Amino acid sequence: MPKHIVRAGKVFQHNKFLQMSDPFKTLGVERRCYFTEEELKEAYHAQAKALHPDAVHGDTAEFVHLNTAYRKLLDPALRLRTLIDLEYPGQNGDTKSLPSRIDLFQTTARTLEEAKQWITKLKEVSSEIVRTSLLAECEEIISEIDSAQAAVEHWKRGLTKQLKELDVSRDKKEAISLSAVATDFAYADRWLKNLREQKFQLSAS
Amino acid sequence: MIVGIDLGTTNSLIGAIDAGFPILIADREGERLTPSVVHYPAGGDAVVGKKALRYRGISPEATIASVKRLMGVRGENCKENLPYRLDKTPGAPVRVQIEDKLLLPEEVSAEVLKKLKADAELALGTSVDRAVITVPAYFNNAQREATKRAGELAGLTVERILSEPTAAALAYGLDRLGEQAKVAVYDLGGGTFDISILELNHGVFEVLATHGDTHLGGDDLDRVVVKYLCEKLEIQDASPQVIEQLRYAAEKAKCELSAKASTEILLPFLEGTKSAELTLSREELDTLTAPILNPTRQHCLRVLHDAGLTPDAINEVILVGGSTRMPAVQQLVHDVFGKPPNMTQHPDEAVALGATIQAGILDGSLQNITLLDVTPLSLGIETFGGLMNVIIPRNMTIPAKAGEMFTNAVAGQSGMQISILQGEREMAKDNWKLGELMIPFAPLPK
Repeated sequence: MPKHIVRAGKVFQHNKFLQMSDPFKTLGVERRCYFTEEELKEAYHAQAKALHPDAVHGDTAEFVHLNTAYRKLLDPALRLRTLIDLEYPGQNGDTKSLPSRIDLFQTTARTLEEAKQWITKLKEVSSEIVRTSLLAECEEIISEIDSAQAAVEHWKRGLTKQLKELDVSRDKKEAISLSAVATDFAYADRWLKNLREQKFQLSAS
Repeated sequence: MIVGIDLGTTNSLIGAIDAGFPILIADREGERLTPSVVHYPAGGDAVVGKKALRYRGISPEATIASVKRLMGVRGENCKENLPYRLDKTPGAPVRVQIEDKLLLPEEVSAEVLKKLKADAELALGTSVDRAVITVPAYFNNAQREATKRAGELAGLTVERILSEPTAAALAYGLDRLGEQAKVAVYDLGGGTFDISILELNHGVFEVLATHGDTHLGGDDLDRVVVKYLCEKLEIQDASPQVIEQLRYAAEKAKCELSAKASTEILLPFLEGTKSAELTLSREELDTLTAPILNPTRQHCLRVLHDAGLTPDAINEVILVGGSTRMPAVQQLVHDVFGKPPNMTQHPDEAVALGATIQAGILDGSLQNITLLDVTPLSLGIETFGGLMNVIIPRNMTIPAKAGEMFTNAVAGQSGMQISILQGEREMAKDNWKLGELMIPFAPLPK
């Protein structure tokens, strides 16, 4: 009997595991597109004190719900998608579209690919001498990762600024512009995560 | 009444909440530390603790120490070299062999727990049947389940399995409930190593990340010293008794070198009439132990990376576990985090105090503390090509729920086999399998 299964993608909305509810309400915060991590953490901790299963009136299901809401709002891309779903239902558009910065897309992808080859190469060598000489050459790719990371971080700071502006001009925001920022954030965060991980692996070896 | 228990590789402790404060309970002899050693005399009841420790030198093959390192380990994965005999049948849990009896590690641990339970009942004057037991943060599900079974065998309902570094953080934070801080807990015990980063925020303890090695500890340090002593004294094919004497001397020397720059090792009548005498300096010890201690540096960097923090974002690095008494360990932590470690917590007692605090949270006697713990290992399922697909990543706050969509890989597939896995490796087979379930599909219409 064939038993294989393959991944069909991340579940984002409308499924029985993560029912679409209002995470803003669960966390007890306003429906906004910009939050600092501290603001969200304070709200999460305050709710967790009462809802954690170990607390006297705690409840596992409610705490799980709170956890899911917190994770969703902590991630800017997911937060924006949630906001669009709540305020402009059916206008989330194409969630798989490209980022606005194709140039960064290319440099990041190239850097990540090169770094990946280095990591495999370093894993395969057994001789200490070869390894040491490889490590010396590694400096170059590490500095490439650094500059790619700096570029993405710079971009992300700009996006955060954009988010703050959208937050102020609440009435004028549209689903389309929110969706574009959400896409950009999703890319920026994923690239940063991968770049940091590969840099860590390279500097660890 | 719920008690808190630190079931350690080397020593175990028990505590209870008394008038709103966690206290540790001493046994009849006034000792709070019970060596986690069980001696099985030929045809008699098991001897536990300090008394059993004395048998280590006389009959090492019937005296079980460091059994924690065997908990939840399968035969094929067991690389331990211990003075007692092990049954390492592949596919089955490792068992300890005493004469012709085979014992599971949890059965041996249960003897230690029974003694602790009796001590607590005597001191508290009530029966004790519920407990919080600590385990290394990096223990997998099988190791946690084995610990739980040990508790049940000793007649205890295990209300919670708590991570050791988290417990130590609770002990540290108990009198700092109004503060906000990020702390790292570096826990190097007799057999295991953990490093956790927590955020303390007005009574909320949130674990941000955790990492570790369940087979790295004081026992490994003793082993390299024993090897060194054998070389120096030109001892070959030593008997278990001689090895045990050397191990005892090595451990003692290691402890003494935490306070002194050099120490004398005296071994009268080691082999027949031959005695041995030599000096061991702290530099020698540091050189010997460096290959074992250095990997902990990588774990520290990894946990900082996972928490998304730089060393200067950490306010305090708390040391717990007996091996952190070593100056080399303190120096290593100082180097990694760029600040002197915090040694205000009792290295042997902090974890047991933390377990007791968690017991207090559970029975409602400590209501101003909330602990948000995480899953130390990623959880996922096996997908096409034998890959592990992570669904709940490590360091996610628990209890948690997550979902992902999967589909069949072949057209007309008659069913789906879901293997649930725990671990960080890319290939499914390298991770620990928690269980399996089968989802049949309705046949296709003709």
